[in-house]
Amino acid sequence: MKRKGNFDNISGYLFIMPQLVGIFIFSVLPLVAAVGLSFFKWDLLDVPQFVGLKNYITQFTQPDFGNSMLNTLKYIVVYIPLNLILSLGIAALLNNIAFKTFYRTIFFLPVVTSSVAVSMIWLWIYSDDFGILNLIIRLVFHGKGIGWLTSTTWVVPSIAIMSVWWSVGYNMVLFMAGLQGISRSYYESAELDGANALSQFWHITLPLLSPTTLFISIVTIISSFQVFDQIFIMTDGGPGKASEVIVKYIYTQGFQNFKMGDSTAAAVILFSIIMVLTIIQFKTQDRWVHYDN
Amino acid sequence: MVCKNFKIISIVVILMFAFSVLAVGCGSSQTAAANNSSTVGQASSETATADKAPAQKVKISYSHWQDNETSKIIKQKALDFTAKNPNIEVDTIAIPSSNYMDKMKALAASGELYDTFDCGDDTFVNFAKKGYLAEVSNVYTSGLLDKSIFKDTILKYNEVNGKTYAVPQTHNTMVVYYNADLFKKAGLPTPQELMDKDRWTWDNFLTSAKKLSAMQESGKKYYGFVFDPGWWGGYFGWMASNGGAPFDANGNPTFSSKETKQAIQFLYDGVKDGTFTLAQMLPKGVGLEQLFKTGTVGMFYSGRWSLQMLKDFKDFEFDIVPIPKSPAGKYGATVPWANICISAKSKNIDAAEKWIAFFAGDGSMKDFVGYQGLPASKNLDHLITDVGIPKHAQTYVDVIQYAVANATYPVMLESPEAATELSKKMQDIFVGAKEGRTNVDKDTAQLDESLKKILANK
Repeated sequence: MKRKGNFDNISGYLFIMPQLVGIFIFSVLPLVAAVGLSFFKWDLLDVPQFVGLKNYITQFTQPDFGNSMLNTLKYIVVYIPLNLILSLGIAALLNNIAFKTFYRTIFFLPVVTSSVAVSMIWLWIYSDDFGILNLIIRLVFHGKGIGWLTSTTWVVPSIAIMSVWWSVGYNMVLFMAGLQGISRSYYESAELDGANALSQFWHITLPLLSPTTLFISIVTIISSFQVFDQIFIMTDGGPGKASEVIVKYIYTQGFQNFKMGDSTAAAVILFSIIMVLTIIQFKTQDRWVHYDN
Repeated sequence: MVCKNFKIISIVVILMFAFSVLAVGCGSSQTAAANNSSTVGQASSETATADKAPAQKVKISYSHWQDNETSKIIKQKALDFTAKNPNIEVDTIAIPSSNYMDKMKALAASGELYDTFDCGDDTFVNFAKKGYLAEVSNVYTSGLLDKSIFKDTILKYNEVNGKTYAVPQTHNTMVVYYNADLFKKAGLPTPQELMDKDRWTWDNFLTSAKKLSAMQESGKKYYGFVFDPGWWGGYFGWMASNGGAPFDANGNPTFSSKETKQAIQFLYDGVKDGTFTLAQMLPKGVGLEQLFKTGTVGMFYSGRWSLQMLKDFKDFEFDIVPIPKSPAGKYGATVPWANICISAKSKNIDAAEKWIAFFAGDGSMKDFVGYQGLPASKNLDHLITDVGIPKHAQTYVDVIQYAVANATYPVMLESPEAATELSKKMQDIFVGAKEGRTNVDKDTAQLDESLKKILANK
């Protein structure tokens, strides 16, 4: 019996071995290498030189890293609340209507569209002189139009709005799954007690949806810190450095300026920020996450 | 049980470590080889030179900027070369231009550079100094290619510290394209007419651009002048025309010097009052040429490569002129250039030399130049005027006397970070003009300071 148990264990580990090897080679090793590299000065062409903590000090003393963090925060401030509110709102609306699957598919379609295709279409929508948004502003509101991607004020919010359109379907599906997991009995009891729809939503739906909200907020925060594709395609960090977010900064330092040390130091800092935020969310979950058990 | 599981997990982890150490070990040996590339290159070169005619069939690679028209020509040239050299096959690799040099740098770092490849003005010096390029003077000394056919001004861009690391491919001159019909419609003399009367000046250029921008017709928007400040080619020529330069002879940035700043201020003021339009305002993927073809652009600043898209265009008459004469009394232009290099790690340097000599020679270049560049050979300038488009095509050749090339400032070429900073900051200055946010005096001084810092830490 014991021998069979050992055999089961070994075969289990062998089955997950390819996955573990993949994770080790493509995730763990690069992570370790990135941390190691962040203590070196290396331009890809010369032999790396050990510089200690210099690359980390550089990040905190030169303006570009700070600028990219600020742009990332601007993006997060627009993207996360909009995304969570919209995805929850749509999920709640679609939860009890006919043709639910059809609407769900419609809202989910942008999620399965490639970032390049989405970005190219939105480039046209946002175009100063040729875009449909400015055309509407000019024709309907007789305004001059907005430099959606060419104004340093508008560029980050514009990309955040586009990203919300692109990804809201994903969170909506998760919220819908969460909503369907809430037992009807809670609502029936609340109805008997005379609670209206808003009260039911506030006192039943939101608390019982909190595990889903926790998961979604963690994933959304991580993904918003990692925003890159749409910025790389639509603005290349411009105009000037107005949309140079942290991952674009890491890319620029590494593959345009060939400062791999600075690039990896910034990547390690980003990794630490995301990890700390995730730990805080987990640590504080007792206060706001309610598991239905 | 826990202990047994721990043992098994340990075995799995040790196996994974062993595997990864093997993988890293293989990687290290490749990196070490890359670090010694110059030695390897020299050794290979000597061996290859001794073995003048490869007895066995060899395959060499050649990477180039992707372009449908030129890619076809290059493929054909590779076949023509193999027909003459049956033992050498050339595998041509087309790479999208937007990330071409980034890819080259990554390949160089991993020791995987192609045997031969197009190199641009922003990387050549850096690659040569770091030992990634084979010295190619043998191409000339062995008689594979006649050095005397090339223009001296272009040959110097293929040398670093007195050694030859490339043969010329093509270069370009950037000029002002204009829609002659639109000028006539606006009741303006064309730039060429002004040039003929020696009145093609910054003032008259500005007057024309203002009038063209102000044209109104059934909701159509007109653009007096469109340029791209997102790279050095967009503004170096204007600085040169005013007697300015972005860097001094010692490599110090001089964007805040009087003449250079004046040129930036001129462009800045035009952008600020809406007379000039930045290429950045167009949707990505819409080239200046496409907008020009709509008939709404009076003038735009670009290289001969724009001719690829305009060569069959007949809806209106267009022509070219140099950057107008500045208050300093000079015309201006910009010269981006490209050359063909051999990787120091190539195992077939002899075959690679034969190929680059064949491709850079007059026989190939006469077909390759087409509508996208200017030949480096003195013998082929007639190709530019032979095509008859545009009417004053000779201007492409003539403006080289007013031109400034990026290569003039090796200090920038050696620091990709300085190049990125320059592009971003200049773009920001001009975008800021539209938003009333930037100031040429303050921002050029800041640019000088930040470039100095970057170059000091290079």
